[in-house]
Amino acid sequence: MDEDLNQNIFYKTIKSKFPKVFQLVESKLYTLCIPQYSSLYGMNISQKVVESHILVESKYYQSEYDALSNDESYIIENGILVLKRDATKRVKILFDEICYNKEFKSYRLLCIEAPLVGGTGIKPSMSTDNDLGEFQGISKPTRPTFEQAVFFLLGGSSQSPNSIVIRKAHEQINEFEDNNDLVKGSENVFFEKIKVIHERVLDDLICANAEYKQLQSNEKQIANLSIILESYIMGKLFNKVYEELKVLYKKENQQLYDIVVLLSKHSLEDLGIKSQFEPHLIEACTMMTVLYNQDVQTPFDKLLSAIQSSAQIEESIKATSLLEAVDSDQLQMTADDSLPILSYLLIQARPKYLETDLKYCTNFIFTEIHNSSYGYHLVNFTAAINYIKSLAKTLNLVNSNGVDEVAASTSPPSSLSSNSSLNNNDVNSPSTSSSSSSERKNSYPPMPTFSSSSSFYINDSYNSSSFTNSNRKSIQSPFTSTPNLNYTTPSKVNESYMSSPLPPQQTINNNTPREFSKPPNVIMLDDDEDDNHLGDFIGRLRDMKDDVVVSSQFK
Amino acid sequence: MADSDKSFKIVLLGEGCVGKTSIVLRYIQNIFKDKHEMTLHAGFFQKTINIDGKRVGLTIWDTAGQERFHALGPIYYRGSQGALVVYDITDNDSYIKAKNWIKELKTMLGSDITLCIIGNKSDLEKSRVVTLEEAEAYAKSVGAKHYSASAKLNRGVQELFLDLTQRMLSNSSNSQTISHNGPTTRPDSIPIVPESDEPKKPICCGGGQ
Repeated sequence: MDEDLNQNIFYKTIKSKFPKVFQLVESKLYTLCIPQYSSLYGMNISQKVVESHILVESKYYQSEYDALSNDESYIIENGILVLKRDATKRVKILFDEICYNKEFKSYRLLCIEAPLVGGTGIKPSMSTDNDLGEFQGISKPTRPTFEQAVFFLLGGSSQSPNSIVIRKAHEQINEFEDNNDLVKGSENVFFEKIKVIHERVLDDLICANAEYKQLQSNEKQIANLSIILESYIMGKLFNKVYEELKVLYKKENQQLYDIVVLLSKHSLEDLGIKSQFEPHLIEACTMMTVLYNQDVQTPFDKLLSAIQSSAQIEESIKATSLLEAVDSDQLQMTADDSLPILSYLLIQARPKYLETDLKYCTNFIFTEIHNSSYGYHLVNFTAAINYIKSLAKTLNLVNSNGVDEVAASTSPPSSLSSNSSLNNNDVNSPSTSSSSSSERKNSYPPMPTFSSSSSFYINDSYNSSSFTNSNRKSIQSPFTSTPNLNYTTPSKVNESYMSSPLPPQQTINNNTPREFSKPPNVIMLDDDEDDNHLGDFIGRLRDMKDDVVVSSQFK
Repeated sequence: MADSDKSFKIVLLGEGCVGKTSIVLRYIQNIFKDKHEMTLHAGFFQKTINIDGKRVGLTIWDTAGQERFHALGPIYYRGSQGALVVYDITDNDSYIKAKNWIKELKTMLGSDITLCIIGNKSDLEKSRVVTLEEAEAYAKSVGAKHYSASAKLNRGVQELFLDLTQRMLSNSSNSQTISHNGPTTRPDSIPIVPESDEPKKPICCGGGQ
C-alpha cells in the first residue's frame, strides 16, 4: 500500500532519534531504505538496524550497494534488492522518491516491502489508532467495472453497513432516473445531479463503515473508494445516461462513424504511424474491438478499454524484444506515436457511438483524475478523437455538409495499408449510410452476402469495376426466377456476416415462387485474396448454391 | 499526502525527435540509453520529490511533437503549472517551434505557468546552430529560464527539474494546487494523488544513481 514516508515510523525515528545518521545520509547522498509501515510491527529500531538500511553506492560495480553497517552488500535488479551473498533473499522496492539536501543535491529514498534486517515478520493483529488492522485498505481497481463494484460494495452480508447504504442509494438513483432527462448541451447539469448522489453515498459509506472511516485521511484510498462507487452508480445509470447520449448525439455519431470508415481505408503513414509498429497492432486491434464494444461500461471502463489496447502494443514490443534478444534497437513508443496509434485503434474498432463515448467519458467521471494517469489517458482519448476529425479534413474526406458521401460510396477496398493484412473488419456500417444505401437500392439488384472481409465485399460489389455489365448479362438469363433474397444493405450484409455466413435479414429458399425482373446475384472470384478466404468463400457458396451463381471466371 | 504537499502538472512540449521523452526518462528513471526502455504507459510520468521540507508530486505529460498534432496542444497543457519546452540545439527549426509554443503558452496561460526552455543534445556542441546567447536572451525576454541539457550524457537534467520545481513552488505560494484549474473544473471533487507508488507495480529503476 502506498504511503506518505513522512508519516512512516522508521523514517521518523531516524530523523528524531538518530539525527547524526540522517545528516550523514543527506550530506553523503546515501540511499535510505525505508520498510513500509505495515512491515514494522514489533521491530526494534536500533542504530545498527538503521545503518543496515543505509546503502552506499559501490565505487566499483554498477547497481551494487554496501550497507553502511558494513556487513552486507546488495544488488538492485529490476526493482528488487538482492542480497549479494544469498540471491534468494530479495526485498521488493515499492517506490522511490528523490530528496534534496540543503545544497540541493539529491539522494534517494527507497520504500521497501520488508526490513532488510530486524523485521519480526509479524503482522499486526489488533487495530490501534494508527494502523489499519487486518483491513489492508482499498486497492485501486485495475478495471473498475460495474461487476467489480458490486462485488466490492455488496460482497459481504446483506446486513453489512455497505448493503444498507447501497439500498438507500438505490432509492436516490431510482428517483433520479424517474425525474431527470438528459438535455443536449446541458450534460453538466445532469452530471452535477448524479455527482450529488455520488458524494452523498460516499459520505454515507465512510460514516457507516468503520474500515473506510479509518482511511478518511488517506486521500488516495478514498479516491479508490470513490472510483469504485462511481462505477457502481454509473453501471446502474448506464441505460439512462448512455442510451440518452446516443439519442442526443445520433447525428454526430453517424458523421464520426462515416469518417472512421473512410479513414480505415488509409495507410498507416496517412495516420502518422511508423510502419515499424504494424506487426504490433494486430492484437491491440482485436483487443480494442472486443473491449470497446462490450455492453455495459462505466466511463472508466470505456476509457480503460482504450488504454489497455494501447498498452498491448507496448507489451507486444517488449515480447518481441525479449524473443529476438534485441535491445539496442528496440522500438520505442513515445507520445509522438501513442496518439496516432490510439486513433488507429479506434478507427479499427469502428465504434458506432464515438461522439457519445467522448461525452460519456469527459462528462461523467466524478473522481478527480486529471492529476493521474487516468486524466492523461482521458485527454489522450479526447485528442485521438479530435485527431480523427482533423484527419478527415486534412485528407479531404468531408465537405461542408459532413462526410463526403460520394467518397464513402465509391472509395476503394478497405485496406489500411497497401501491404497490410490488418484490416479484416468489414464495413459494418451501422446506421449505415442510409442515404447511400437507399440510392443503391434503387439502382442495383439485391445482393447476397458472402464476403469474409471488407475488401472482398467491395471487390464483389456492384461498385467493383470488375463487375461489368457484360458479366451481368451473360449470366442473367437463366436465372429469371432466382429464389428470393431480401435486400440487405451492403453494410448490414457485412455486419451480419461477422457472426454468420447467412445474415439474419436474409430468407434463403423460402419456396415461395416470386417473379424477379432483376438480374441474378453474381459473385466474382477473380480477386487476389489469400487462399484461406477463397476456401472459406467456396464453402459458403456451396451452402448457398441455390441462391447464387458463381461467375464463369471461377475455374 | 500531508497538508504541506504539493502536486504539479508539467507539460512537455517541442518538435518531434528533439529528445523530450529522453529528458523525462533520464530524470524519472535515470535509465537513459540510446534506445531507452519502455514505460508502461508512454507519455505519462510521475515522481515524488522532497524539497525544502515539502513533499512535491510531479506529474509530467509528454505530448506528440509533430506539426500535425500542434492544434491538440491546448488539450494537454491546460491546467499545467509548468512547461518544459524543448528544442534541439542542432536544429533551428525546432528552436522556432519552441518559440511558437512559448508564445502560445504565454497567450493562453499568462503568468500562471512556469516556463523552462531546454536546448537539448548539448553533447552535439559541434553541430550547434542555435547560439546559447540567443536562446538565453530570448528566454529572459519571455520570463522563462533556459537550460542546456544532454539527456544522453545526463547533463543539466536534474538541475532543470529542480529549478522548475522550485519556481513552481514559489509561484504557488498561495497554496494553489493543480486541482483548481484542471481540465474540468469540479471544485468540490475528490483529489486523487499520484499513483506511481502502487505497491504491485514499483516504478523504481533497477540501476543505481
